[in-house]
Amino acid sequence: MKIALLPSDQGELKALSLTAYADTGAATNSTIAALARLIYPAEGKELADFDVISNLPAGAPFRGPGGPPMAFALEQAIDEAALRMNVDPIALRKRWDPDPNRQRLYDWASSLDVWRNRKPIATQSGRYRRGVGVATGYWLYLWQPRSKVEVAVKGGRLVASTATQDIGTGTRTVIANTVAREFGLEPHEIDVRIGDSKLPEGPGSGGSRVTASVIPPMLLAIEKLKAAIQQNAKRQPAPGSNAPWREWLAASPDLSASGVRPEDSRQMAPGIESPLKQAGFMGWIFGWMMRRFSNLVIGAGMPSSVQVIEVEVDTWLGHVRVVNVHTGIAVGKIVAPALAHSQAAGAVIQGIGYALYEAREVDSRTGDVLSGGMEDYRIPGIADTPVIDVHFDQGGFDHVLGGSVGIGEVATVPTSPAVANAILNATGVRLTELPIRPDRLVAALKGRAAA
Amino acid sequence: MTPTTMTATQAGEFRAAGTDLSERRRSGVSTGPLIDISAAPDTIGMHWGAEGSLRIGAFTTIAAIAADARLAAAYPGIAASAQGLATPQVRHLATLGGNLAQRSRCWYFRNPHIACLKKGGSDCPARSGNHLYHVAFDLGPCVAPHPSTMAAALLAYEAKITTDRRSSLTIGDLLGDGSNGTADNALQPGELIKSVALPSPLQGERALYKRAISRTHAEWPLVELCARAVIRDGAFQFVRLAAGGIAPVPLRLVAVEATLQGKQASAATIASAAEQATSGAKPLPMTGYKLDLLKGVVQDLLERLTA
Ligand SMILES: Cc1cc2nc3c(=O)[nH]c(=O)nc-3n(C[C@H](O)[C@H](O)[C@H](O)COP(=O)(O)OP(=O)(O)OC[C@H]3O[C@@H](n4cnc5c(N)ncnc54)[C@H](O)[C@@H]3O)c2cc1C
Ligand code: SF4
Repeated sequence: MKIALLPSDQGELKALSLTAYADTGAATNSTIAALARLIYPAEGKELADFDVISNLPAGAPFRGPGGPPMAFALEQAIDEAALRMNVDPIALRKRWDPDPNRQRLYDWASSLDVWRNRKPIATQSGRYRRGVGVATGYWLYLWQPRSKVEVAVKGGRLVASTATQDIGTGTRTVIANTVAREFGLEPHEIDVRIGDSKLPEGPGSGGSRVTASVIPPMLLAIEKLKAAIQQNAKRQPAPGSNAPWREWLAASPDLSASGVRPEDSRQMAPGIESPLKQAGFMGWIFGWMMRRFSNLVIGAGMPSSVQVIEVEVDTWLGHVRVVNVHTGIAVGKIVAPALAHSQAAGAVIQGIGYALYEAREVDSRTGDVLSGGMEDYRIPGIADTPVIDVHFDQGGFDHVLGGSVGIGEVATVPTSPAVANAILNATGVRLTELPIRPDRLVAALKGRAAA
Repeated sequence: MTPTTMTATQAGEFRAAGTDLSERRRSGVSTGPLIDISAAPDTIGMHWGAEGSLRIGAFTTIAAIAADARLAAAYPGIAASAQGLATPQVRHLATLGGNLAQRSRCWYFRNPHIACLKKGGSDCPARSGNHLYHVAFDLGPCVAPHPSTMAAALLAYEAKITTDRRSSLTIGDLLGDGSNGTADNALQPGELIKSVALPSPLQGERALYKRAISRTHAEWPLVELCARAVIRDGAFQFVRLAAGGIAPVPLRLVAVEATLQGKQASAATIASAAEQATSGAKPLPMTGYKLDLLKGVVQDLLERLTA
């Protein structure tokens, strides 16, 4: 990747250029540079993505396809600009990035003790050096039209059904929690039926779209079902009951209602708009094509994340220990707090793997994959996991019925640049290659190019 | 007939705990008949000599070595090496004999689709290919570092190995000098390691072990070092350093040892001695970083030994 930023004399961002060459193997369609379109508005942007096609196995994108590499370049460039302009890196982001969700996250980040107490760049001389870095991430708010959820009473129990699936991300819990909350019940009292394509049409599990696709129709279905229950119940709850819906349900015949994903409200908080708007007519066409051919809508407002990361660098052995991570996430209302917390923490751990360990190694002549096992393909272990502080900013998506959008991808985007920026703060050395392994770090500290 | 006596007449590969062997057999890298071996009273556990020396049975597990308090007091470098290798699950099963006789972890060797010197092939694909984790002391046709952590520790302690055929083998006798690219050790076909003898520790000696890795645990060392020293009146009276991960066999860092011998233990002596750690090094294009790491672990352990 090649990146350049041009600040104006007044300290505004004038131009941004990012060119990405992706090692896609026997595949095409990498989207890395293009993602820099939707953040840090500038007078001019030159963004180009190239696929380098070879006979290597296809490089399949992971969580937030294209997002982490884009952020690794862009967020280090912003950090470097702040350094050269002698501005606090969070203050510079506040200046260059008007997104209201992220503005709130910047305020939160700059108030953190670990940020306020960080030392100036490369002022330490011992073997172990500590540094603090910041980085920003965003992802698109996507939802899938025609998503339909049926909520029914069957034998006195509530059953929610939709043809989606839970790939371990917590979809079942999001559905159960929402229904339970609306009826004053416990989540385990709700039967969730998913994973069957005969059920009402539901969203695919990709692009962080599920929560925002299923909650709104589910809320509509719940509203209709509640009315039907009240109309058809064999008796009324006892006056003053502290669990009226429990009683309504016990007295209800089998009933069902369904809802289809409605359009979002046009009443949006100030500054919230569709990211496609900036792209004008082209954006409108793109949005139309996405809806028409991919059955996906790019909604208004951006799921956002800001991370502040502290590392300790062993300058003798090239070892980086991530000491603590503060991850601030704005994805609207949190429906399943325990699972959202582990999504956020898991995203940090995965991001650390991306920053420090993960690499597919191949033989350069034959293309044989050499790192085809958990021994040679390194991912973080328990001892590599830092203290993780998760902050949810729950506003910004009031125009979405239920107020919630997906968290899966946005949560991992900023980790690798925040780690690299922290290493720079500790050592004065900027690492531009991933993963940041001991061989690369010791070479960089010695001012050598790594092999 | 005890299992240990079956070997003379049968051809096949021994299986102790199988933590190395099973993976190779599952991938298809290793095939052929197996000979299950199991412990006899004299091939397992700690056997202390009257003068404080120790014979460890080859069937003793790494976890047992790591957990033995008397061993840790007498031979702290052996205990720390055992504690630092692999994962708790592997240590729980893996035997000392299997650790010394384990096969290379080279990712070309472990790939069943690739031929190499150690699998009857005619050349070493790692040398001209991706050798990020390979040797920085290029001593022979095969550029894979020897995998055994215990071998490096035993080299630092000048241990002697007894097999069912030979006795008093040094680590050098057991593993060779790195010039034979086709084998991981110099055991004869069907030769069984029975025990390892450690001479009694020196008066007042201290020892430490350290590995350089990218993660915190559970990773093959990029570089590892077992260091012993006796420091009297502030001077190095005795130093032994044995490093793994850098050469086809564990290496004594004799140049560092010689530089320190008799010298006052100061930060400056240590720093300049650590520079000697790379003497004789011949890194490959991708392994130059291991020399930085080697100097780093040498300096780290020497500083801690003298602290
Ligand atoms: C994730 C992981 C990480 C690891 N990290 C390390 C590490 O950091 N350092 C390290 O040293 N090791 C490491 N190991 C390797 C591990 O220590 C070895 O697999 C183990 O010591 C082998 O012992 P075993 O009893 O299971 O041997 P087996 O797998 O049963 O045998 C291994 C080989 O030794 C031969 N053999 C076994 N016993 C004898 C004997 N008594 N005489 C002659 N030949 C014999 C067998 O024929 C076979 O070829 C790691 C392994 C794993 C899976
Ligand atoms: S380094 Fe050794 S084990 Fe690896 S490919 Fe070369 S010869 Fe085979």
